[in-house]
Amino acid sequence: MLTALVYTTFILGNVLLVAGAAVALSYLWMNSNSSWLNVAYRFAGAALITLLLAFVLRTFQWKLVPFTTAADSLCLFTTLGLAVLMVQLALFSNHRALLCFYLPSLALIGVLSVLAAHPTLSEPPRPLSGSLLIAHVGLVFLAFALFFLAGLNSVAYAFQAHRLKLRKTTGLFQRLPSLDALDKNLFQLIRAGYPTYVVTLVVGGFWVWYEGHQLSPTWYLSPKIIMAIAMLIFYAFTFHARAAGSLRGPKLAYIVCYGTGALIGFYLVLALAGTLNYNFYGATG
Amino acid sequence: MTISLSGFSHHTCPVELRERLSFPEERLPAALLKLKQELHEGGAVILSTCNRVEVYTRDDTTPELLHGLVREFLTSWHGLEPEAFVGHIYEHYNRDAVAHLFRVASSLDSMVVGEDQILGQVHDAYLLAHAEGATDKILNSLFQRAFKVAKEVRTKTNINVGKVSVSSVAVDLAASIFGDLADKTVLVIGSGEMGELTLKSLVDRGVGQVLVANRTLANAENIAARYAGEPLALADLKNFLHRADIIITSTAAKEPILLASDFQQALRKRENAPMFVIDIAVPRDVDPKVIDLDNVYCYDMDDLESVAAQNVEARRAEMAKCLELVESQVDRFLGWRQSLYAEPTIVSMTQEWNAIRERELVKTLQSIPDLTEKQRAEVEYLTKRIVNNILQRPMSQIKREVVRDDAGRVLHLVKRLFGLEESAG
Repeated sequence: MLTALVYTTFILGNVLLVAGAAVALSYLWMNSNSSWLNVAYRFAGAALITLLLAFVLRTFQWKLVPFTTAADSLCLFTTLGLAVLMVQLALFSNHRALLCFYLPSLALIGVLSVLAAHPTLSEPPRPLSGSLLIAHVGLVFLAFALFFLAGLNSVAYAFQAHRLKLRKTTGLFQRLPSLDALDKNLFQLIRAGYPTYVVTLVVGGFWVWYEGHQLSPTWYLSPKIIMAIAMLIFYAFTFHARAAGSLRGPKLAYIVCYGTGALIGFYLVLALAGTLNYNFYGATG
Repeated sequence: MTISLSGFSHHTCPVELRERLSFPEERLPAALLKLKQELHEGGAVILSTCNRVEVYTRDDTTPELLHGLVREFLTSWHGLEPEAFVGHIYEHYNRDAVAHLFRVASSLDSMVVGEDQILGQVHDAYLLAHAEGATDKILNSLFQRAFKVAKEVRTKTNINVGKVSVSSVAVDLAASIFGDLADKTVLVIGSGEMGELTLKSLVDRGVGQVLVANRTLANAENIAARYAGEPLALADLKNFLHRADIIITSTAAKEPILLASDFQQALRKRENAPMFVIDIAVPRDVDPKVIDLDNVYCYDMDDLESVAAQNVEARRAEMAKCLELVESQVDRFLGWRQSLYAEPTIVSMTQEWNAIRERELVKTLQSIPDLTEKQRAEVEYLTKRIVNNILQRPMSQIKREVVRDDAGRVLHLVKRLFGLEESAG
């Protein structure tokens, strides 16, 4: 019974997300009025509530935090992305045109999570050893969601700046937020994501310190750790450069846009090749 | 039941004739009164703006007679010969007149398509006619519907998105870059008319601080005083360039006065915060290399005009969608108006059936004298309910049919069917 409920809420949440994305894209392609964005916003809100419910139900069903399966991870990422998005749009209602950039990308991840859902959602998630690891994994997803939205925001910024330089200022240009608003959004997302990520790595470090006996002696050479350090360096650079004012505007947008794209690309290649955890766990792990 | 329109607009009529045909605001009540007297029992609304003079009338006569009557009124009121109208007047009736009003109110017939002013002007013209008692039920409904259509066109399409005058385009672009202008600083260099017009638009939009630089400090002080700004000497330009978020430059200098290196220096001081430069000087005041700098958005006069042209084009592209909306509303209005033809027949039908009901009720009550007052009232109520229930469906069907079919034929059939007087309706 509970499994059926988990499946239903999980799939319904993603269907609502896809519907929201479709409405947002209709606004983009069909040059519609802003009421479409309000509809997309409501769909996104409903999707968030439904996916949160799916997460709670699954946690309640197995008394385990569902972080580990592919469907759980992707769903958590989508849910956190949606949560950040809803907070952002609740604070700045005139930024709703950003849904055209955010929702389709999140919906794509949602669809992937649905494809990965069967049969994993009827099985218990793999237990994580200790609260430090649970905090570490949860924070990782939050930081990833913030960076992902920053990447999408940078696409919007680059688009606006490019259109301004080209003197093509009709259509979507008129409906997107101002450059200043996009710049502030982008910085806020990095400003929230970077410290979250630092805390994530610190928590992960503590976990290794206390419970890392199951790891290989050279765990720090694992591809996922190298990726994590590359991400830390990249976002440390963008955060500090933007905070100091030496990197701002289209350059920052392009760097974040390409950087996020490259990191997602590397991550996917490693994950699909099954080498993400290579050399991470020891013989006992 | 004819709705007619006789009009002159910027599309058909030179400004000299429009000036002669216009109605000053203070003379409009008298004009409406005179026109109302000429009409049989309908009403009139006069719309007089700088781009159009239009007379909307409604009366129970033919379109030809109504148009003739309005022509006579206009010639006598303005002291013109009828020949003066040849080739300039447009006359429509019923569907075309309704569609024209809806297009005018929605700003689809304006010189600058999508402008906001015309709706207010149509509104004022209607309110005045209404206050003077010059409108009737049909005209009231027609104009109320026109306002609804105009609102729908604005909210459901992008007809009024994007400005079409150069100074408004500059302000819109500034808002696209900075969003809220309240904490932004505008620097005006030179004292050209266009520059000041743009400055005024920015100040109206709420720009935070104004700096004015001029070769002659007295001129700078003069402009700065008008906008509560700060006057500066042009010689110090490079020292305060970084303070400006928006720069409007319109000097008569023969060579560029602002180079790419000046902006690079300013950007360093501003921590790369964006700058918007409006160069309306000819020859240009800003080195063309500035266009390639990140975080500097430089628009010259040609650029602003090209953006305005794009906006005009975008509005034109929305026209088809707007006209579709207008047409659907015209159909709805004409449907409602057509249904009014059925009213006298329906009244007559109701009276006839109620007369039968009352006659039969009296007979029945006389044959049962023992009924109490309460029982008599209940029987009477029952008969009323039966008649109302029987009539409900044919009445709504008649209203629907007169809209769909030839009203005269439908009503004639109904009268024959229910044995009504031919005079009804």
